[in-house]
Amino acid sequence: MTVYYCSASYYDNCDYWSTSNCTPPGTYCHRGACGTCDNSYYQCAWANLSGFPPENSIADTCGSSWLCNDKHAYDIPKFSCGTVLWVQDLCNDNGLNVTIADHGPYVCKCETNCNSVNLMRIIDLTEAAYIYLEGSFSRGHIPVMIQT
Amino acid sequence: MPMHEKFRTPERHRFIKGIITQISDVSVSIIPYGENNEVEGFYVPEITEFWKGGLSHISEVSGRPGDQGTMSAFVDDSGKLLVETLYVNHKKVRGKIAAKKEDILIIQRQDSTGLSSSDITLKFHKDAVTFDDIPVEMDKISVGQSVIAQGEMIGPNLLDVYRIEVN
Repeated sequence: MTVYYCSASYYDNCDYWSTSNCTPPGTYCHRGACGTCDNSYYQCAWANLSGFPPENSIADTCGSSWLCNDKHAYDIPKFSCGTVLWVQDLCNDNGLNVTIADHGPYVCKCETNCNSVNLMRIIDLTEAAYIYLEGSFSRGHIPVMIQT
Repeated sequence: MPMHEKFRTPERHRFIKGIITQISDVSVSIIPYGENNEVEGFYVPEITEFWKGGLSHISEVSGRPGDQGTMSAFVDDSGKLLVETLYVNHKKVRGKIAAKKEDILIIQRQDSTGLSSSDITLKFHKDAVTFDDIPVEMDKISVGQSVIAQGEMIGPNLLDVYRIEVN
């Protein structure tokens, strides 16, 4: 079992209609790195996705000298597409299972919230998952516990 | 913020995003993207909140038919859909700053594969802040930087930004 504390944001890259320049218009042209991403499902993008090389990762973006709470991006657990993670909001204790369906984020962000320690932002939740946990999109990020 | 604590399970939760077909002081109806049948959610006093853009909520219904509605709701024991939050024309975009002119940014959007898609223009709401609740300082923003912004779509490719993060 893996337990990891990190910061989560949300994204709508896998939104049915948010993509543009699809052929024909209105069809899926982006289903995430795993090919299964859907914004209306409880899914996420994970920063260290199995099958993606280091040069296309947060570890490469941030470098070995970048630290967040004494951890660097190379410490992030590696998961595969389809892995189910239990994600618990550390601000309100709401939790749910999400399935990894995409790769990212790639930002070097060390964030704190709800009096928690600084946490690395390494998970992007779909809008459906994020709003279930948080109730709104008003905050840009939330601290969460990840458990497999 | 108030929540549907009693019904808060994934089985009861519904996330619906699509086009508003009817909106009143009692309920909102939305046809989800990719579907044909509309879904009606009913407001609950003390619980339901209405949002524009993503920073400040309002107590009055503001959307119109034709707007994009993003609804988070929970099914009660009778099968009725109870709205927790309703966003009108909410959008979050990511990309790189392609151009900057005064308080306007042109963003070249990117998906998570790194491929670029369409450009979008960002203008800043008067209350715009960063993800860490710090007022936006335009003179510290430069072309080429990466951006994550959330706000209200007020035109086909125009976002009124409530929150922004620049890397």
